[in-house]
Amino acid sequence: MSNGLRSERAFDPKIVAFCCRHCAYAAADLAGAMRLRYPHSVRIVDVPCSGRVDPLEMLRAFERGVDGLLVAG
Amino acid sequence: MSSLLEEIGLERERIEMVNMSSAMAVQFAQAVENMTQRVRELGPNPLQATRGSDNEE
Amino acid sequence: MIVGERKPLSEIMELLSGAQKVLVAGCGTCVTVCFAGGEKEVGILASELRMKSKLDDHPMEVEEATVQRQCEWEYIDPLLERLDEYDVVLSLACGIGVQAMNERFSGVVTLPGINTTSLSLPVEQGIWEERCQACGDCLLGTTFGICPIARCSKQLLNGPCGGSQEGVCEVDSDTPCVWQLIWDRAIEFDQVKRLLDIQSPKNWSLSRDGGPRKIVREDLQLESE
Repeated sequence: MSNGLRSERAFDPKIVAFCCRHCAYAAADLAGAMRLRYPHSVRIVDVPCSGRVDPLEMLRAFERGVDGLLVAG
Repeated sequence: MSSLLEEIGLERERIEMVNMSSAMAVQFAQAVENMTQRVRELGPNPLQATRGSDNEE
Repeated sequence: MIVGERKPLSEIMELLSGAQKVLVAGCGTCVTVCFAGGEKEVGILASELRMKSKLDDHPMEVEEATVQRQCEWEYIDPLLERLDEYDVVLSLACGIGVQAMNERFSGVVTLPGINTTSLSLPVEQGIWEERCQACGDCLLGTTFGICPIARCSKQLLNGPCGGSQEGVCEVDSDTPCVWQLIWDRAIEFDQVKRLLDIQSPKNWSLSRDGGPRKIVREDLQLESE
């Protein structure tokens, strides 16, 4: 998607979701298997445990321009 | 973490923590939907505005 | 260990005002284990600074370096070759580290990013309690291993003051009365009698009152003049 197109359309927030491998990541997997619809602009990052996510990684995400962050355990 | 964001000048609402089990696919989709909606209201990350388009996919 | 606390971002931003290129320098020893100025905290602060300065429309270039110990020449010397690239160094080490950097590197100023607070014990996760004031004349041997200099609000040497209430200090209800602790320990060892000797005034000249202190160990010096 080009930048021009992006700005003309409604704002499509880029969300990063840090997902626990055993809970939310599996839930996301299931959501896919169930053909559930959810915003495509979410980027899922698989982590071994949501406790693994630390402030440094979250800050780096914002620094690189992510609009919102979801930590799902 | 949210106070870190505020110190920098980003809204603390840009970050959210949710809890679910591996069977809660519907809740997962809902959480993503809610977060997208909330961030849409907040508008883009202001740090993105000054960023070059080369970082875009 | 030496314990410190990160300064607020606003204060750091003020210290750095005008700088274009900054090196955030961490220390891998005391401030790492008290989570104030190790590699991770350096990363967090550097990221914060990049974002904050960008949002303030004066983007700074911020780089990171953490050395094993900022209070020894051997460890900081390797930083020298890259230092002339920076307008300023922001050190997350204790006050000793900040000064070591300034003494060693004349071309660039090193500013403090943390407040060095105390010599403390991590009594539990996330809590550091002061245990030593480096008074230079240790009296733990007479007080059953509990220090009234660091832990009594009034630094009393001969038992508690009238403000000791049910084992709690009158100055701060979160602070136990250290003389209560000492007394309890004396009872435990059945040596209360030892506490009845009157302690003469402490020799404070060995502490800060004698001016800056210095230890010279000729046996350790490489050459004597």
